[in-house]
Amino acid sequence: MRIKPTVLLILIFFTRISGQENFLLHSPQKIKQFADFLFCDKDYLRAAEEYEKLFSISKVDSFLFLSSLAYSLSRNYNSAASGFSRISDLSLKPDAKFEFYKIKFIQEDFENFLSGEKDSDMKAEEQSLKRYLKLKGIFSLMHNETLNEEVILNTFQTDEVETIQKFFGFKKNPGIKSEVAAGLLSALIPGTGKIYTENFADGLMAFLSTGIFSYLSYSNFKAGHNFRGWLFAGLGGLFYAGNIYGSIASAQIFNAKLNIDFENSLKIFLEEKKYFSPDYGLCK
Amino acid sequence: MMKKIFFAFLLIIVFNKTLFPQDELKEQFQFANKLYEQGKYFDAITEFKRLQFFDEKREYEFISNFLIGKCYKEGAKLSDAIFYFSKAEIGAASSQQIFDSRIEVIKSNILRKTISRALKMIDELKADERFFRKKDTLIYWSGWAYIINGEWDKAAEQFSQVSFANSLADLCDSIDSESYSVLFAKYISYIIPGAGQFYTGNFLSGLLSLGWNVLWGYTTVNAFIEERIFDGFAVANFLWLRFYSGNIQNAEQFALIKNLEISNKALDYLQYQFSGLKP
Repeated sequence: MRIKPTVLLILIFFTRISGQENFLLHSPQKIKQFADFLFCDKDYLRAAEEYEKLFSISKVDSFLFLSSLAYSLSRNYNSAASGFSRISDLSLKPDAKFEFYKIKFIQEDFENFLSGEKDSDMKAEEQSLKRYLKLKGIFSLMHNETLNEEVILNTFQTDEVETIQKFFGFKKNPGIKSEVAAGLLSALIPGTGKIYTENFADGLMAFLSTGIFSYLSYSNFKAGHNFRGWLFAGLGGLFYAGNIYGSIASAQIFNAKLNIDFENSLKIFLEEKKYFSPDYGLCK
Repeated sequence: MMKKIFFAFLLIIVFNKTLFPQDELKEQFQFANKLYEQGKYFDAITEFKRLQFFDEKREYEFISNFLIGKCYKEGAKLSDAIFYFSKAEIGAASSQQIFDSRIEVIKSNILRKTISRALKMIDELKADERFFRKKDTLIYWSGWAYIINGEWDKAAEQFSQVSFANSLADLCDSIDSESYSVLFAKYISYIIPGAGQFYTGNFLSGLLSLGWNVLWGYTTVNAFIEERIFDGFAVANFLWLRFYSGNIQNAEQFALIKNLEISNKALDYLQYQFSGLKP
């Protein structure tokens, strides 16, 4: 067989300039290897794009699932939710639906999150439904819904129950401080409102400063310095009023801090549990 | 005849792509590099990572890590950039490559304001005999480290030692002489309350400071003269001392703010108008 050198050259040239998509490194098999590597290397955004390429080539739902999962892990929730909602493969659908509702929970789109209860695709698989119900339990805790502790606790695993019970304990007895009581206490004895809200140093300072300015006012009036007497009386009055206002604010801050601490604890618990997502066994 | 041509075509495609994997890597490198040159840094990083993943012989280890570092640096992800420049150094095949990687780490440290780390690395390179001829470059970057740290006097001193950095030395000198002395502002406020504020051009604040100190100073002294000792101590402690120490802190703060304004103006010039080498 003899082929003219010019034909050979043309063919070689053709294969070399055929565009980067034809590189062997960009073949579907290599893209999959590379995407898996990126995913396990926690470079989720790049992994998502590689899986997306595979999906656009093959239209296989497992790649769309992986792409959406990687988007979700890189906190690109809109892309992730859009991907999960397009999955039609029945074996992947319950997990995809759970991941979809999980994203809605994270995005605080609670209307869509709660619609998961009626989703038959997710209910088709027991594990997905269980995970969803755990999130629903946390939602109820967060939003002070009428809590049926027993029912909610039943959805959690043994190692999770203790923490959830602590959250319930907080909801039943949050230990909030009354703003009215704080204000009244400080009006009676300056600084005591702050001490009531566990702001001990501020309470002591308020007591001392109000007391000292009152004494200075009295002392200056007594010495015949009326201007200074009024000046210190004014300063003392300011401290007194400021201390009442400060005590009410201190109670508000104390209560806000309690709620923030509770929400942070819940968030840390959810992050640790990966919002109850399963491992999927992708990186071993 | 057509069959033969078809088989030849197939063979060429297969051999061309499978017998020369290094060519594939080379093409991949060129592709990634092109993305880098086009400023598509995210995509460039992906393609350099792909190159690394399939580069079993690690032929592109240095250059791919180095350019990934550059991409991250362009995207202001300086910690990631430092990580990849350090990886590049591990895969470096020559002293020049080691030097280039370390200089990039130093520049990234300067940009993320971890100046002590940058200066420590510069000192280490200065002590390394392999880089004896690179002293000017090292002095130049230590000058930049001082600039970013707001130490214009030290920066001027460094640049004046390098022949190609005269304009920077002059600039740093002028910024240094334009700056306010924070210590002076503080100390004159110890002597005359409000004087530090006057020195930094904040006249109203200076007058107020002086007024408060005179008022509470007089009240304190008067209380002691009239033998109202407790009153004297209370006013001195709760009012006079507070205004006096506040006046000193205030003067110091004003000098710092003024210096920051001067520094920022100079940095703005260096960022947008200075055409020499920058970190």
